[in-house]
Amino acid sequence: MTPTDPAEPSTVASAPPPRRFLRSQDDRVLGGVAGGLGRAFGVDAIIFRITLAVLVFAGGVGLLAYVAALLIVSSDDGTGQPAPRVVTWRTAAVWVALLIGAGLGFWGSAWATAAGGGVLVAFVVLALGAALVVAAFRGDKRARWLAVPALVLAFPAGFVSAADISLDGGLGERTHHPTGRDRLPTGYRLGAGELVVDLRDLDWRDDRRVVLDLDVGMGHAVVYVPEAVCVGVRSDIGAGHADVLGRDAAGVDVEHDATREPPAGAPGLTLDVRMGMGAFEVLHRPRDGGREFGANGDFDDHGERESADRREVRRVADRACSQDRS
Amino acid sequence: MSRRPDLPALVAGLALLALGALLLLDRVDALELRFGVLTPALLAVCGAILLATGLDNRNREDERER
Repeated sequence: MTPTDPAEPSTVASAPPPRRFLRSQDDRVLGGVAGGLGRAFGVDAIIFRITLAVLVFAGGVGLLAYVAALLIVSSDDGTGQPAPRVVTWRTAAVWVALLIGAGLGFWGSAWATAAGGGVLVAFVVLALGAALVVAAFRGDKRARWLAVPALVLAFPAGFVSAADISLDGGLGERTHHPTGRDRLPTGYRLGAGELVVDLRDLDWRDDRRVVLDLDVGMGHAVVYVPEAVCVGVRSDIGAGHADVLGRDAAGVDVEHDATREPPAGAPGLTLDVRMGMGAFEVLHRPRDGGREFGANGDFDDHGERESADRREVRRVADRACSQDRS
Repeated sequence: MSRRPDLPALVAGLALLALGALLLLDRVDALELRFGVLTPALLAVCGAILLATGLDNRNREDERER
């Protein structure tokens, strides 16, 4: 029997037609996108809901995909067929306004929390939660939508709180180049931006140890030190990367205690670093050719790409803290 | 006859109250919010809302079939 034999019973003809991806009318949280995907692929919609929720945090890909599906994919009419699309200018304008409002709410909440208005944001989230509970007992299903603005406000506020980002110290680029101990403050502070503290020309002949606090909300902080100075660091970084003379730590909630005692008669520096989000570095000199932080995989302490330069920096830093400084 | 509360709205409301309380406590320095706490808390809030919505949809389908 050949494939074209008309006597052969056809199995293809009896196969069910492929299910079309339409936004679900019955299984929906917002626009029925995940419900429609679940039905089209024959799996539980919760899988797509979780995937989309996770992708929202991947640079907003989930949100873009959801809005695109909302605009492009038709809704079903309850029988598995696409319902006629009725998109008016008014509907489109409402969606655009909602998206702009969500963006403003998101960044406004982040800014307000970083600027010291976190209590207000928390109260708004609490008020929306309380309104939802009251509406739930009244049976008002339209109130479910209140969860969306509450989450739009709560997510960035939570992120800023966890990272401990504060704009108290101002914004911008600050460079400090102290030369005398009498002019050296107890610490430096910056809300957001780049902070450079160059201690290479400080008078280190006095063997008294220098203790310096650095408080940066968000951005990049660099401290330059002479090779002969024994450097110890206590750092608390909400999210980011610390690279202290060839030794690094990265991730979220990075608490790193690398305090070191300088040998008798040797100069010592102890840095107390508190950073919300960003990168913190202690270097002997600016990177060659102005190389950017983290380029070429140079901060991988254990990787094969670790450069000889970094090993040398660590060796010099260790020698500054050892009794045998020859 | 007592009316049954709307499950998704109730769960979302309670979850947001918990989240708001967490944010408020951090802002008044009663606790220190870290990513290790915040991330599971946010995912739990989203998960609870999705679960409640899914259960509600299933209940509605069951009622419609009956």
